[in-house]
Amino acid sequence: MIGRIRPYLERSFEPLIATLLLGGVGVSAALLVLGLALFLVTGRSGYGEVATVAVLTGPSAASQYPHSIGSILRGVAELRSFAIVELGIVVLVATPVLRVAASVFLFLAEEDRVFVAVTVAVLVLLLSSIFLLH
Amino acid sequence: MADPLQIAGFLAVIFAASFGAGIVGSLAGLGGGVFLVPLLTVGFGLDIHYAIGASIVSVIATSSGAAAAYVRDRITNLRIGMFLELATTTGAITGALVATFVQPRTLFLIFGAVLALSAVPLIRQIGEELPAGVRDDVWASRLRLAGTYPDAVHRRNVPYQVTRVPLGLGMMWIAGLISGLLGIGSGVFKVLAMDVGMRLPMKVSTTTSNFMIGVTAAASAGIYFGRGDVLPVVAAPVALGVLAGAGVGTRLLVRMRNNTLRQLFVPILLLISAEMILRGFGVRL
Repeated sequence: MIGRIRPYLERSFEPLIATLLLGGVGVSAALLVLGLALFLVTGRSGYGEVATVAVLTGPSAASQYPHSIGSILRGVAELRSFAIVELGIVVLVATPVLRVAASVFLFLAEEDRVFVAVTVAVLVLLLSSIFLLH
Repeated sequence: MADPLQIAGFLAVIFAASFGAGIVGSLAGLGGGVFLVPLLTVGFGLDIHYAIGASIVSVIATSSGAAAAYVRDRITNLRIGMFLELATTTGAITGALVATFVQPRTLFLIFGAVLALSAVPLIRQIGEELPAGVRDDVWASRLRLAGTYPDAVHRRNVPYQVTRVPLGLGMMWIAGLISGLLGIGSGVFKVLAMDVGMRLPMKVSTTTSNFMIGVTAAASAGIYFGRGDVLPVVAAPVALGVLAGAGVGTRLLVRMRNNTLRQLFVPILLLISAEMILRGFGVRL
């Protein structure tokens, strides 16, 4: 009986998840294109002197760019090209996390208690591995 | 002095390679790191940490880019994906916790060998377009995991049931563990768990794996990002190339037979297994 109802319930569920994923990917890609274009046009990363690929990918490259949300946002406000690129990466990484969070609410709307518990547990595990383990 | 031509060339080559990785990854249900990591380390002389950082970005881009299309087309089984994410996230955390106590080289050898051996049941299944005689186990019926996906090749909706859910959970835990410990190969284990373990149709296995790998990778992305392993000049063309490739791959998969997809998957699995065994012997590609 439930098996027959399920496809109708999911009719509203799946487009929402698909739209969320597409939105995250779209915003991320737009930021990456914008940041790269700004970088190529101005020739400036916004962080230190850019010489060659060797400098951009060398052993000290990592320490030059911002890695915290605050410093990335400041860099974006100052129109530093690599800060815009990094914001694009942050949006990309956040997309699957948002998808799990959104699923919690979708299962709540379906009153599917088992899957509300499953998705909440996944969200807690995911957030703890992102924020606690390093 | 900046050299815009050299930098533009570098971006273009990485974009093109990532485009290819995105096509294959979105078809096979994995992130494409197996192709990108050797290109970046051997081809461009990049440090392995930067290459793995780029690989994580490629996994997340393939996952979200491809899953957007597969979920919309109702090929992905959302309930199976979300339920099994319990096991992959637990595995990933276990991996991160025990990482300091274990020898990665031994693990590369063990899991490389396991992968090579798992080619056997996979090859035996070649010729089987849709799994026959699979009945829901207790877990699958309780959790309502069975589903239906539209198959453009067969021109009908294909219903399927789900078996051996505990085995699937166990294999997913290992997939998470591997991704937490080794950083590569988690997509291929997910496909195996669903195809060989739970006996789902191949398309449902690879697309549901695609859906899941983004979450597994996001669990460790914070660590790589915070360490500075994600270089903007590498990650941006990787992400854009992979997204474009996934756009093509998702259109291809719909028109493919399950059996063709499995035949494509076997050599990729053997390639990943070879790369893991090589790393176990200390050869860093």
